Parts: sequence; C-alpha cells; structure tokens
Amino acid sequence: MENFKICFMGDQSVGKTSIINRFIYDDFNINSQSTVGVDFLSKTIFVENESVRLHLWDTAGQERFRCLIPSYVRNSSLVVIVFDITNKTSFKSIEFWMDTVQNERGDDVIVFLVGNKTDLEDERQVSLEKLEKEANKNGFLYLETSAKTGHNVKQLFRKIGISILKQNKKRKELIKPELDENTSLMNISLNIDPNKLKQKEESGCC
Amino acid sequence: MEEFHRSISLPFSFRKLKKEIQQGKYHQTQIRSIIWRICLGCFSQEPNPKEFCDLIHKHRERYSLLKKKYIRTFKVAGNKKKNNNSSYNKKENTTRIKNQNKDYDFSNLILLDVKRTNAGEELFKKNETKKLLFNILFIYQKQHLDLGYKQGMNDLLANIFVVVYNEYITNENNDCYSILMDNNYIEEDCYLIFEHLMEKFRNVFLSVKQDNNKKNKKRNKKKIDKSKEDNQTKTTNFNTEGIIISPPLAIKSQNKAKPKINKKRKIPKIVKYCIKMQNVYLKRFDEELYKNFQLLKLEPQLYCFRWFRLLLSREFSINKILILWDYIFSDPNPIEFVSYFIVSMLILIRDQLFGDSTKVYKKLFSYSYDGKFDDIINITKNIRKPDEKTNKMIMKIKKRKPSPMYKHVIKSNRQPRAVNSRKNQPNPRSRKNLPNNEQIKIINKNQIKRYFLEKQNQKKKNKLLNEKKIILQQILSKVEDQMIPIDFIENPIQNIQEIIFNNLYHSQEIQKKLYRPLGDLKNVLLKQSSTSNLKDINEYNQKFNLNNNNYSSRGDIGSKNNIVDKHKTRDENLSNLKDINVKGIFKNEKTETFIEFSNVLCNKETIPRDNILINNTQIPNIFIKSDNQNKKNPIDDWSIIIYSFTHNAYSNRKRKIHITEDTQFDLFTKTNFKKNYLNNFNNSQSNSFFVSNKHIPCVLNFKYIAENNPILI
Repeated sequence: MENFKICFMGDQSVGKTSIINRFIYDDFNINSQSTVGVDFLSKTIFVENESVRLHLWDTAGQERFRCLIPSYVRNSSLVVIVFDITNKTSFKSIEFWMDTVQNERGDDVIVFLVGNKTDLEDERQVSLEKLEKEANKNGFLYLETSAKTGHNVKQLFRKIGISILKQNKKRKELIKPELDENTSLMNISLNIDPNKLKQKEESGCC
Repeated sequence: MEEFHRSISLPFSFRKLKKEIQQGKYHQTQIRSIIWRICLGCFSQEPNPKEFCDLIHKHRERYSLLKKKYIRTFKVAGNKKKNNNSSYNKKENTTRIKNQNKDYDFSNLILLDVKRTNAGEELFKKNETKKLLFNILFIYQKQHLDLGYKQGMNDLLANIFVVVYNEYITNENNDCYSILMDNNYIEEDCYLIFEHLMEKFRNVFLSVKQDNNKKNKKRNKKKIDKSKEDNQTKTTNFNTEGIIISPPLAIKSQNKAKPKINKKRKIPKIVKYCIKMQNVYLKRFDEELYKNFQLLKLEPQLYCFRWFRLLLSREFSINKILILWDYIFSDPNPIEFVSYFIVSMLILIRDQLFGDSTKVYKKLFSYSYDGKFDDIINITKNIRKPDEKTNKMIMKIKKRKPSPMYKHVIKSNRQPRAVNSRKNQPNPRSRKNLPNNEQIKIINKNQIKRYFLEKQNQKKKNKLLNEKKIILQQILSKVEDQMIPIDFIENPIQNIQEIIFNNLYHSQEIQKKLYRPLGDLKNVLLKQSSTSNLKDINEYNQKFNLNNNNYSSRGDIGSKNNIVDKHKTRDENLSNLKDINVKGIFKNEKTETFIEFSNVLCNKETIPRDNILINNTQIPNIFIKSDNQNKKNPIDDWSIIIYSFTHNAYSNRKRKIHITEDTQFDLFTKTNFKKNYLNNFNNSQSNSFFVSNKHIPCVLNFKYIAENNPILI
C-alpha cells in the first residue's frame, strides 16, 4: 500500500487540527491544544476499491519559518489550505500559504482550499462570491467544512483520496516510456499564471 | 521550611546547589520555585538569604509598575477598537490607532492560546488563572518586542504557574522563606521566572527574521548614533576641524553592504539544534538508527521541534517534567542536555523505530516510553559524560579538514599499521588523555549495556518481532526456492535493503543464528575497552546462549572445529581486532550449505565508525569462495544472502571482490548482476573486479571469508 503525504496549512486556530481529529477519531474538542511545530497522524481509507494510506501532517499556524516549511511540504502529494470563514484575515493569508507552497513545489502539487467553521454561519465574514472568484482564479478545489459538527469532513477526505489516486495513476502512466513526453505533470495540477509567480518571487519572502 | 534552610544555609553557593540538583537530591522538593529562580539566574550574584528578599521585592515592584503601564493602556486600546467598529469613528492620530490595533491583535492571539492551555484541568478553567497567564504573556510581549509572543510560551508558563501556585503559602511569619513564597505575589513571581526562562531559551523561540531584524536594529542604532555624531561634529566641531565627517561615511557604506549577504536562507537556531541532535549526537551513539532515519527521509526538525521548544513538556506528565526541568535548568549547557535527553529517548524505544515509516512516524510524534522515567535521565548522563572529550577531538578533526570523517579514520589508522606497534595496545590516545577516567567510563558503559539487555528482553514480547520473522521467513523461503524475480531485486532496492537489513538484524533468533551480538553496543564496548573486559564477554555469551556449542550446533564437524578454533584465538587475543569481530553462521537446512558471516558484515554494517577510529580496524576485502565439494548438485544448493553495501560508512568507496576460479556463475544469469559485472569481469581477465555501492551483489552458495587485509582504492 502506498503512503501519501498530505500537508495541512493555514492561519492560527482556523481548525486544522480539529478537522484532522474529526476525521480520524470522529471527535471534536473545543479546547484542543495549539499545535507547536508539526504533528503527524495517519489513516487508511478505501476509495474506488483501492486502499490509500494518508499521512496527515499538521503544522502550527504561527510557524511561518521558511526553513520549517520546505522540509514539511517536500514529497507531499497534496496540500490542504484551511481558513476560517468567520475570520477575514485568515482568508487573506491564503495567498501567503499558496506562495510558500509554490516556492517549494512549483505547480507539482494538488491544492485543496477548505473553509472551516460552517457551524458559525451567522458570523460569516468571507462571502461565497469572493470564494468563487478566488477558487476560479487559482484553480483550487474548494470545500466548506465544520469540524465541530462533522459537516463535509468525510467528503473532504474522500475527494482527497480520489484526486490523489488520479494523480498517482497519471504519474505512473507518465513514467511509462510508450507515452508521449509532451504530457507533462503541469497538466495535472493547477493552472497558475507564470507572470504572477514571477512577481511574487521578486517581491521576496513572507 | 526546613528544606529551605538546609539548602540555603551558609556557606551557600549556587554551584553547590546545582551539583546537588544534578545528583537528583531535589526530586521531591517543596521549594522548587526558589530553586528555579536560582538556577535561571533571577538572583544575579550569590546573595545572603536576607538579600534574596530585597531582590525579590524589587522585582515585584517592577512588575506592578509594568502591569499598571501595559494592562491599562491595553484596556483603553481595546475599548477604542470597539468604538471604531461601531460606527462612532472619531479619528485621532492614525499612527496611534495603528499601534493600538497591533496590540489588539497580539492580545487576541494570546487570549486564544491562554484559553486552550491545559484546558482539561480544573486549575486552568478558573478565570483568575486565565487572567494571570494573559497578563504575564502580554506584558512579556510588550517588554520584549523583538521576540514577541510565540506559540508554546503559554505551555512553559503554565508549568511555572503550577509550581508556584502549589508551593506558595500565606505570609504569616514575615521571614525570608515566607516572603519568597508569599502567595500574594504569585503573578509577579511567575513573571520573574518566566522572563528568565525565556532569556535562557531565547534561541529556541527566535525565528530567522527576528534574528536579522535584531541585527538590523543594532545597525540602525549605530547608524543613528553615528548620524547624531555627524550632526554634532558638524555643529560643534565645524569651526575647529572639517575633516571629521569622512570616516563615519565609510562605515555607513559598509553597513549597507552587509545585509545583502544576509539574504541567504538562514536556518533558525532551533532547527540547528534539531539537526545537530540527529546528525551529531544520535549518529555518534547509534549510527544505525541515524541511518534508518535517513532512509526514511525523516528530518529532525519535524519531530524534534516541539520537544525543543516546549522543553518536552507535552511528552511527559507534569511530575516528570518538573524533575526534568530541574536537570535542564541546573545544567551549564541546557540545550546540550536536552539534545542528549532526546537521543536517549530515541534509543530507549529504538526497537520500535525501525521498519514501516508510518509506524515510526506515529511513534515519534506521540512519544511514550513504558519504562521508568529515571532510565532516560540516567542514560542521558551516561552517554554525555564519556563523549565530551571525543566530541572535542572530532570537532578538532573536522575543523582541520572539511572532508568526510571516514577518510581521517583510515588515514589515521594506516600509520600505526605500518609501524605495527600499536596492535596490542588498547588505545593510546585515550590512555594519554584519560588516565583516570577510563575505569569510570567502563562502568558507565556497563550501565548502558544493562539497559540494552533489558530492552532486548522486552523485544521478545513484542509483536513486531513476530511480524519481522514472518517477513524474513518469506524472504528466505523465496530465496531458497530461487523464486526471487528480477524485479524484486532490481527495482525497489531501498525497500529490500530495508526489509532485509531490519529483519536480519532485529529478530533475536536470527541474531543468534547468524549474527551473534552483531552491532550490539556490547561489541562497541568490547572494542573500546579491549583486554580489560574478558569477563564481560563470557557473561555476555552466557546470557545470549552464544557459547560455542550452541553456536555451531547445526554445523558440520569441519566448520564447527574451525569456529571453535577461531573463538579460542578470539579470546586469547582480544586486542587483535581480527578475532574480536563477530562471526556467525547461517545454515540452510534444505541444502546443507553454510554461509559464514564474519567481520565483513559487522564492521561495515553496524558498528559505528567512531569505534573503528579508535581501534585501527580497516576495511577488509571480501572474498567469495564457492563451496562445491560436498554438494551433490551445485545448482540446487544455491542459497542466497543479499545485503547491501550502501548501508555502511564507507558508502562512497568501491570495494574489491574476489571470486575464485571454481565459482559458478550460472546463477548470475538470473539477476542483473551478470549484465553489470560479468562482462566486466570477463574482459578484464582477472579474478577480481569492483563493485560500486549502488548494486546488490547476490551471493549464492558462497562462503564469506573476510580477511583483514586493508584495501584502499
């Protein structure tokens, strides 16, 4: 069975750890401790008659160390960027997380965007229109979840499993010599303007 | 009370106190808050007990001032923010509002974390505690803007609070003791301890940016100072001397040039600590585990980061943490202590750190050790002491030349060989440097040994072992039936290496059969302490049922005799490395063939190279001989053993392999071996060829016979 590395990123207390805990233990703890450094959990899921073992890597929101992130994102097959729909700033910093991922991995990685805390719909600060724009612009796969109620969490991981398997198959096909060399990995993942990337590189670090 | 007077009685010195703490005399102490204040340097000099009180009073006053200053302004700022939000926008200076907003953000952040610290415990559910934690963190953040608030500080503070809260009493007598432990000043003293703690472990919390900022700030300050000087010189000295302006300008230009160099990616100090822990300390003490981590591509900063930053406070229960912190705080080099502590943590659960990556990760990220907590501390002490001097030595060697270590090892060993004088001496270098400490060393090592023996007993119960055995049996059965498909060997090279390496090495039965105590610490120790440890060897042999009879019980008569002979010589000449080395036999019952392992395997695969450095060992040639004489059908007799050359310290080195003339090559056709090497072999028309480390030689129906002739290619 193959292992797939999945990284969770996002601002402080948006609910990264809670989503993972909901998925693995089907439990929610209001007072979960803040993550320091990196945490690791794993679970095997069955998608499309295949079993996939997910390695879930959970980072601390506050750690914006440029040196911790590379070793963390490396070899990951999928990155989940989480934000809090009741917190505008956490939405704004998506760009920051996206940049860090791209600086490290280029486009060679699938990105999921997850808006957490749908149970607090009344306090929503990030409108769905904005989200659509953002998702369309970057080609994210977007999902809204609630770790507290468990809404959409299972679906999230099922989708993750499916897209990982897809990517994996395409990769394997690419490795076979019969295929054209033209089908590159670029087509599989995100479509991002190269110009935009350049600009960000010029502007420097976080 | 009594304890306090006893420990702080005159003549009193911090050093003495710290020593006593290191000896573990204060595990059950009731005055931990005072001890911590002393260890963390809250009292700058060594005062009389009475002067403690004066100092503490000053600190408390200072804190109350800070509290008035910051907590009030913060409240105002918070209110204003609310006002701004609620449409009553009466704008003052925009800059001021910005500052206040920053405060507000930080306070939010701190509040979030304070709510979450130890939220399960009653003590931390109280609003008073939350307020206290918040005040301290907020004031600290304001006082130390360069560092700010970092996640994790709250955990450290919580532990301090627990200690202070539990120890403090109502002040009735008004003597030194009760003043120091006055429960009216819990908050003040928590802040004092916390501030000093952070001062000591500042590096653990610094990020790269802040490091740079700090330097830049200093530079800016300098600039400002100089520009001030400039102005002053302009105004005051203008009339007298006009030349003064030029030197400061030159300095300015230098300052501009420096930041460009700083743009390189810098590693924060905590990551450096993590890396040093794994690449230096762990590697030195348990190279195999280190290699395994490398195989898993496990970077130390991933699992160690939290351990370093929180000083392990989430890994153990609070009682253990307090004892651990005593050790850490009283240590002259706390970071080093933590590093060694982590190494011993890893070593104690090392049997669970091999194999499947998922398991290893899980184990590392939720650490638990079933045995006594004291074990970890004892091992930490033991591995730390004897290594200090060798550590310095290695550092010196590294400073001299940047090339990898093993080159030095071999070079340094070559010379004594040529002279042929050091053979019977254990280790002249250690004798010279450590005449008195040598015996102590051995005692320490014996203790460590015992730990390993205990651990190996635990292994028996371990389910992992059974799994490994099964895997091994599968592999061996495949091997016996010659069913190994080519892909299996060629493709997932790393996997097969891992599996075989781990299985062969870790299952105990097979260790007995094949490897004897291969790679065990015992060997390492044997080598280092040479002749003085004859008794230990016998003990060890008995414990593991590794005496000669058992050892060769399945062998045929001829080989048995050989081995016995070798053992005799081994015991006779302990100083002679050839004979100390581990030997073993694996018998394939179906085919009645033997594979003999000798120092080829053990030297290269398992024994850390530091020991080789000490003991003049050199890389032997590997001889492969066919053993056809007693066999009916050679092809049926092929038994296989695969091992990789990549796992060893000499991985960059090519190794010479000799094959005798009567060796049959039929079987090589089944593997990639032929493609790569046989042609080469035929072309060269000699009976030896080179194997690079990338390839796995499959040795079938051959005996390994190692010779001690050094090769240097």
